[in-house]
Amino acid sequence: MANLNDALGTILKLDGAMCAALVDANSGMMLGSQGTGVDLEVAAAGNTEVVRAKLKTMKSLGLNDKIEDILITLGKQYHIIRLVDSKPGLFFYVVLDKTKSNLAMARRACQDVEKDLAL
Amino acid sequence: MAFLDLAREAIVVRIVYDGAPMAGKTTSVRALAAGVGGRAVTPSEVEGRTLYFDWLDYTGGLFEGRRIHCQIVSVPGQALLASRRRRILESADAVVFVSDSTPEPHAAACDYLTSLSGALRDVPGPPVGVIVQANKRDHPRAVPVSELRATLDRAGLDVGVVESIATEGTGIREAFVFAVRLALDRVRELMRTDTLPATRPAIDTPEALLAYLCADEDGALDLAAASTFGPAPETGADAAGGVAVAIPAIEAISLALQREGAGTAPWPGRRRTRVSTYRGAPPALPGHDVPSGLIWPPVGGRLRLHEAVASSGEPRRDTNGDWRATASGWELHSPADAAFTAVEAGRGALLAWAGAHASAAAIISERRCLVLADDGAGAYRLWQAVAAEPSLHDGLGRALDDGPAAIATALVQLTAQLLDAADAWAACPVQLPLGLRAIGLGRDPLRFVGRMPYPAAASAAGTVLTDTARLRRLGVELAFAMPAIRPVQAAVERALGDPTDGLAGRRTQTARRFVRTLLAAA
Repeated sequence: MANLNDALGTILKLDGAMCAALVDANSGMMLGSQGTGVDLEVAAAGNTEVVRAKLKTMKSLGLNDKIEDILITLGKQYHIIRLVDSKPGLFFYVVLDKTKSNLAMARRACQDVEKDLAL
Repeated sequence: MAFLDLAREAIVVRIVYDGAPMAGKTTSVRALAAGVGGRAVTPSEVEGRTLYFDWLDYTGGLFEGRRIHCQIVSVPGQALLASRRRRILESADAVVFVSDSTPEPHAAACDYLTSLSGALRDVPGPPVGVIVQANKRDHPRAVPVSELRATLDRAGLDVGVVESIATEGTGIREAFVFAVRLALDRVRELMRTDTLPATRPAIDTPEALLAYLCADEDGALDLAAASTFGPAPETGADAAGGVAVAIPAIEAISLALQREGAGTAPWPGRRRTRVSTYRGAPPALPGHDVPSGLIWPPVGGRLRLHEAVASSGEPRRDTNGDWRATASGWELHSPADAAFTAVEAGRGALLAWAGAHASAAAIISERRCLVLADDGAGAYRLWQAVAAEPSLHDGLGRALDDGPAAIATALVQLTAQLLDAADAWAACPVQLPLGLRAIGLGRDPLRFVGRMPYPAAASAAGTVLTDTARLRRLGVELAFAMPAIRPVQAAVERALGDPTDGLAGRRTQTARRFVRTLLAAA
């Protein structure tokens, strides 16, 4: 089982990974972060709203399901939001350089890190 | 103590770091400060031991669309500072309990955790959550987490555990964020029950917290700590005891923050009355920013002062030179000679007057305070604020409209109470001015609700009035009611009944006899 620092370190080894954080969705605060490239404090709080909005929409649609991850494609970056299944209310937030990364592989790596997280 | 700060559009919560001495509370707060790019302030410490608290401000995250402003405060862990610890804990929205994982301190930590649970049970409102930060996990003999968990289970404590090495910053942020989550749970419940205050917090800076803690202490704790841990670094204690330690600590914080460019937060609601020049102009009334040590009683006094000056008008001068101002439900009064050019002299007078109040505490009404304040012209003036309460005079005034029977009953009752007060208060070290306006209506035991005599004007107590003197006094007090009584005097006298009929107690018979004598002489 990997601790938080190990988990973030593994994510940052991905091709194109710029920065990553583990975020508490209740408060929008980061439990830990590594890397640079965006203001992770602001991003953590803002993406908490993204997760909440999606959950609210799912409820409105009557979808009895859970979010595994949210993938956002920008012009120059990929943003991955990976919810931690074993710790409800936590999610990984990862920022990747679009020109250097493989989205499918990054998504799979985040899945492995999330399952391996020990907190 | 959670608040909704509308000005900053933020939820304000307080996260308190608790734990046994040397568990790593201060190290944790400082490590957190380094991690969030903040700066921890420690007003006073001796040989690495926190005497007051460590303070860190952090704003981040998002809750219901608002930023989360965290006041992160650690407590002093030493047993002799337990009362200070408890006062900080009472304001917590969530607690991070820092536990030393090494075997010997681990047992003490369990005792502290149990006392923490007891302290938090007394906090009103939704429960205060606790997260245990098992610190010093790098120690070779660190107690296994499973054993710590078993200890918590045996104590019936359902709390989360985060492992940490505070000296390296490991686990610090996780523990803090989980504590914030617990605090937000509490805020959510306060919002659901519509009990989340929407106001600027009264204690929003380390200076304000330090002043709050010092205001209710007489310096004994600081002296005890100094003698236990060694001399405090700032200064030796003087006759003012803790104040001498605390004031330099406040100044040190202010200087440190000013150097950092953070400045100091003003006390909310700062207010002064307008005073252009002193000669012929009224003195300034006390404001909310009166320094600690110049208000009595230290904590309750500031709250009462806040109420008293909130809506008071400009002070007016009485014919005897005293100054008076009235607000809704309060009167502020300053004797003509209660002005001082130096604060030390004024403080001496304040303490003497406070001593008189304390000696009569069992007799006088509770809602009052004394304050020494800048008069706006470079001098200081001593004020007394007394909350207005219905008095026997008010009771008789109301009875005058209710007919002869009610008048007769009121006359007898207030006379009996006046006589009771004269007897009961004769033993008071301070001679209280006796009169219908000075005795609270419907109070049992009887309470003095008037202005306390100023020490310079007070006479020693122990004077016992003769019946003749009491009658004369009663006559003076009832003079205001005679115009209303005269038209129905005969009916009132009939309603009084016969003082010798033995139907009432001795005091009531005496009172009836007094009233009959007065009415006959009127």
